[in-house]
This record gives sequence, C-alpha cells and structure tokens, in this order.
Amino acid sequence: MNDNSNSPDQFGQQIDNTVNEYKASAEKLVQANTYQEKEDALYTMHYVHAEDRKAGVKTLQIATDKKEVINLRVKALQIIGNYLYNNPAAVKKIIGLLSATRENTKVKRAALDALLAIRFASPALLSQMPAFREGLRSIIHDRDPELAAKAIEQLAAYNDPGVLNLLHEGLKNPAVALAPEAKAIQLLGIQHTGGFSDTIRERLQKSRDTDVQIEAIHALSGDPAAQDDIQNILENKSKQKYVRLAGLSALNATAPHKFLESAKKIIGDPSDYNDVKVASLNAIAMQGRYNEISGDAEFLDQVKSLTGHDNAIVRKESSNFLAGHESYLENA
Amino acid sequence: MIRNAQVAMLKESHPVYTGKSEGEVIRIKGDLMAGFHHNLPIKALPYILEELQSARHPYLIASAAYALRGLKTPLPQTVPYLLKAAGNLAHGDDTFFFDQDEHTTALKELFKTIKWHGAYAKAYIANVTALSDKLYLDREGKKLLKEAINAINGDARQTGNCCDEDLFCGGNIKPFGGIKKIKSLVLEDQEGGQIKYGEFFNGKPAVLVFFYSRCDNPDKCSLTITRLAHLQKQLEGKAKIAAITYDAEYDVAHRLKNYGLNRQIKFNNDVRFFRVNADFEQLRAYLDLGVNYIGPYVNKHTIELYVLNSKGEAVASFSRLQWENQEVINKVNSLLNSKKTTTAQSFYSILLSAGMAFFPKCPLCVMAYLSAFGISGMNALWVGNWLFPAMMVLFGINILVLAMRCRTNRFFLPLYLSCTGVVILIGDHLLLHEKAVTMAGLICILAGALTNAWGRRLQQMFGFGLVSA
Repeated sequence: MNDNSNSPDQFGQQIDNTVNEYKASAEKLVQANTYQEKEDALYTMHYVHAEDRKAGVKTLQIATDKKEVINLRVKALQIIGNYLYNNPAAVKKIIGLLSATRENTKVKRAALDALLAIRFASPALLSQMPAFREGLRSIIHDRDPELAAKAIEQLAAYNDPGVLNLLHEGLKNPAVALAPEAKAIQLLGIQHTGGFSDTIRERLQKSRDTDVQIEAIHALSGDPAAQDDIQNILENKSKQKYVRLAGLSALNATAPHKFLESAKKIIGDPSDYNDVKVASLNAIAMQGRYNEISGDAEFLDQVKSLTGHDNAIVRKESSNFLAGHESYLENA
Repeated sequence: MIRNAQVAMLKESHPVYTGKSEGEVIRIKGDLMAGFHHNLPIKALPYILEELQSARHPYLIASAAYALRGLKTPLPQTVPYLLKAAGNLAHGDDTFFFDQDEHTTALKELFKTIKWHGAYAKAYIANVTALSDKLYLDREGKKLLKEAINAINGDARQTGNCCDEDLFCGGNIKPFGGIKKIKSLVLEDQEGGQIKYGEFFNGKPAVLVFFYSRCDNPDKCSLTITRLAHLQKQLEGKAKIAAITYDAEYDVAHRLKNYGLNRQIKFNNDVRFFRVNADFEQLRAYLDLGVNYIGPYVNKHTIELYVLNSKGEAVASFSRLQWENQEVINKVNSLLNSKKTTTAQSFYSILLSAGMAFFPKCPLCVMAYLSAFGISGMNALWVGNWLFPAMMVLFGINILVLAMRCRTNRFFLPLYLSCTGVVILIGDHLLLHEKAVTMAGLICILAGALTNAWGRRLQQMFGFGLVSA
C-alpha cells in the first residue's frame, strides 16, 4: 500500500473541504462591497460554479462595470468561464466588452480569453455566434497587437472571407499587412481552396525568412503545383535544416514517389545533415515502403554503411531500418 | 430568359465558378439564391434544398431559406430541409444583410421561413417545437421560434399534399451520350492497379458515386461513402460498386483505400475506389458532373450517384439530395430484370432464326422436305384430315402474295403457273389420287416460284413478254 495515496475517506474529506472553501469564498464575494473585500474573495476563488447564480451575477457585474478597478475586472473575467458556459445573456455582455469603443485593453484581452476558452462547445456562445464574430471583427485592427492577433486567428479559423482577403492583401503589400508574413501564410493555409496558393508559392520562392518558408511549405503541402519547389528545397543542402524537414514532410504527403527519389539522394550523400537523413529513413520505414526499396541494392548498401556512422542516432535508426527490411523480407 | 440563366448558374459546373476561391463561390451562389426571394422558379428548388440539407456555411443556409419564401405557395415537403439546416448551424451562425436596413442571421431566416409556411408546416409541428431543446437559442432566437410555432398553430388555411415534383421522387434520369470515348479511360484503383473503364463497368450493373477525401463537409463525401457501404450490404453483390475521386492529384491509392475502409467499405474485385489520372474531363463531360475547381482543388461539388447498366452506360442519376438506398436498389433490380428479359428474348430469337433456317424457302426446299418425309414414312400425314385445309390456307397465302407481287412487277406468269399447280393438286386430291398428277401440280407451283424469282431476268435475257400485262 502506498503511504502517499489517499483513502476514500480522505479523498471525500478533501472534496468536502474544497466545496466548503468555495461556498465560503462565493458567499464572501456576494457580500463584498469594498475593493479589498472583492479582491479577497476573487483571488481565493479559482472559478465560479455554473449553477451559482448569485456569485455569477456578482462576478459578471464586477467584470462589466467600468467603474471597477481593472485588475478586479480582469480577475473576474478569468474565473467566470464556467458560469458563462450555459448562460447566453452573460455571454452577450462579455461579447459587448470586445466591441466597446472605450474599453480597457487588459479587460478586452481577458474577455476574449474567457470567450475563446469556451468556444468549442458552449451552447451559450454558439447561440451568440453572429454577435461573437462581429465582436471579433471589431478588434482586428485594435491597437493592441495581441488582441488583434487572437481575433484574426479565430476569424481565419472560421474561414471569414473578409479577414482572409485582408491577410492575402497583406502578403502582396506589407504596408497594409494585418499580421506578420509567416502568421498570415499559416492562417491562409487553413483554407486550401481559398485561392491563395499562387501568392504563397511566390513568397516561398522569394522570401529568405525561415519562418515564412516553413509556413509556406506547410500551406502548400497539398498543392501539386508546388511539388517541384518543395523537392528542390528538400534537396538543397544550403537551406536551413528545419525548412528542409518541413519540405520532407510536405513532399512525403503530397508526392510520395518524388519524396523517395529525394530521400535516396539524401541518405546516400555523406555530406548531408544527419537529422535530415534520419527523418528520411524514418519516413520510409514508418510508412512500410520497404517493397519500393527492396530491389535497390545500392540504396540498401548505403543504409548498411550508415550503421557504422559516427553519429549514434544515425547508427541506431539505420539499424532499425535494416531490421524492418529484414522483417519485411521474411513476411513477404 | 434571365431566370433560366440564373438557375443554370446554380449548377456547380457553371464556368462562373471555375478558378474561384471557395469563399467567392459561396458568395456568388448565396447572392444568386437570395435573388430568388421574390420569385423562386421550381427548377431552382433542388439547388435550394441541397444547400439546406448539406451546406454548413451560414450564408448559404441563410440565402437558401430566404429564397424559399419566393415560392408562390409553401411546400410542406420543404420543412424537413429547413429543420436539417437548423441542425447544421450548430457549427456557427453569422450576420448578413439581405435588406439594407436590417441585419439577419441564418437561424433568423430559417425561423422566418418556417413561420411563412404556416399551416403548410403543420405535419412537422412536433419537430419544429423540439428545436427549442435541440438548438442553442438566445432570447431573440426563442422569440422567433415561438412566433413560428404560433404561426403554424394559428393558421387555418387548408393545405393539400401538393407535391408532384420529380425532386421528391428521386432517380431523376439525365440524357447521356458519348460512352465510347470513356470506355478506354484508365482507372487506378485503391491498390494501385489499373483497369479500363470499359473493362470494370462491364457484365453487371454498377453503382458509381463521386467523392474526394479532402471534402470538409461531413454531410457530403464522408456521408456518401458511409451510405455507399450500407448500400453495398443491401445489394449483396448484385451490382458492382465504385467510387471515383474528384481529386486525383491528392487521392492516391492508399488514401482511397483508407477512406473506404474507415467507412466500412469491403473492397473486392467488384467493389473498388478509383482515381482517373488522365482525361478526367471526358468522364466529367459524359456524366455532366456537378463539380468545379480552383487550380487542382475542388471549390464546389454536389452529391451524385449514378446507376450504370452492364455496358457501363449511365442510365440513372441521383444527385443533389442524398439518395434513398431502396430507390437505387430498385433501379439495379430493374436493370437485372431487363437483362433476364433480354436473355429470354435472345432465346426466342434463336428459335425463330433456327425455324427460319429450316423453313422451306423455295420449291426445291419443299421438294427436299417432301423427299425426306417420304423416306421417313411421313407421307402418311398427307392423308391426314388436318393437313389438306392447312395446305389450302398456305396455298391461298402464296397466291395472294404472288398476285400482289405480279401486279407490282406487271408480270403475271408466276401467278398463273401457281394457280394452275394449286388447281391440279386440289383436283388430284379430290378426284384422281394419282402421284404423277400430284407431281405435275407441284412442278407447276415450283415453276411459278422460279419464274417469280427470276422472271425479270428471263424477260431481259429472252425478251419475251409473254402474259405480261
């Protein structure tokens, strides 16, 4: 018996304590009038119970009252999630904070975080979705970049045509960019049917920014027109390692045969990066493509030679690869 | 004219959608549908119902519901589609403007349209009422739903069961043509094996659907393949089953296989998924597929199932709305039954051909048969009571045909010879019973047949116009 484990009685006692603590804090919050009383109550609570109407109303009141101290309002918004979950009227008020013109930035951020925390399944937020989207649209140009970025990201996830077009425009004209280039490409890549492939392909060819290249490769991983570009990047030893690894993943997904051609070259090249070699070997092995390399004696010799490589990971992965191949031959 | 052009633009394959992003396609289609708000032609109704049944984008749902109010009279059968659309909105509603002054949402438009149905939605009042529990409604949503329920309950109009439109019956058949071109189309299956269209779709009726694995609408491709798996069980091998991807570039063999297996498809030689690596356009044109592209990506597509006969020709299509399995099975069964009928017809046709082959076609044949009858003792039949009247009827027909032909040819010798032969045979049968006389009669008939066949040539050869009129 583990001495540290709780007995059922002890566990039950802990729950009782937690419930009692919550009740005491919630009661304190409901009766709080001064700043200090409210602060004491809010900072001892981790959440407002969904069914606790009195505490919920009080928390909502603190969160939405512009006369309250900002820190208290932010704290109230941080703990109100459970209460919001099933309460459309409360959600509506929090959404109202987003689009309020003279609202404090910290409050807006906390309001957005509270809404994003419940966005996946909250019936109350789903019933307010048009208003929520409008609220998000109202802050995409907010002077607080963090707030704007979160709103843009969420709207892009909803395939909001207005935001996607603005992001697209920003790629062509950085002066009107809504988000940094890499972020814009990442968000535009969510919708592969958005008609942004040509622009992203152009950025992949022209940009020297590693993040931009990686995001562009991810965004273009399903685009047949980008296969050659991605293959060139994968085989280009002067490219940054992580860019090439992104290319490896994308090419393997979209053009497995082209990937195999490149992988053989990489594995057979003593001067290539070990990480890229190992990733290439793993990609072939993980997909069980031994049948495609089984007849290639030269390639198998190259893998065998890697079992004596200086790098321990290369040695281990090449041995695993050959063991997998042996197993394939036995079962074939 | 303009209305027809607008309806035509609702079809996915219309050039207006080619090369457009998905967002643009949604906007164009939504705008087009909203344009039918004041007058919705019945031809456009399947497109509207399709969006209500399977669209996820709130603008498409809002504009479809808005357009439905353009019908002259509400159709009760459209209410289930509105209810389905309300469920689809669980993924998120949005705000739009149809009138300049008032913003609306998809849910508002759905409730307004249900309200507009009034008494026509009475059969679905329980389902409409249940929406308050199924949907996440705010105060305004609840108010609109209540108004819709009150409108249904308070409407005293008498409504009949008014629909005789094809779209509610399914199995709509389109004209097809140009099968020859696609028979040589090479299909690559889920194992990477290749087979020609004409080879796979051959010998058995087939059910063919279209899909693509990157489709993000759970009510379209994913549901289509799941329902196809169900259909596979019900068809019990009576028909071949195939699914062809719209997205051949991406849907390589292992993706086709996994997509099918994950949706309970049991692959075998008669059940396969394909991609068409080259000349997909030919198949697209042949079946008039409801799909369009932006570059290599599908930007819009419909739901479509085709029933093919044993030659690979499409004979029925079930498109836009999800098909009923039983209707597809009925169509396959009717093809199988017609095949049996064709087999039976072929059998009778062979019998007839054999009969024709052995039927005495000239006097020489008759003579040969008579000789054979004599050898086998069947000449006894000659004295049978039934044979004489039968022979008389045949002679009568022969003389009638000869008379018509001689009149046309203005050459009567064959008729006279045949008539003489018949008179001799009758006289012999009734009075003389002499074999020599019988032979003389038969020779006359034979001569009549020969002169009928070669009379013109004889005339030309010898120049005699004897007995010609």
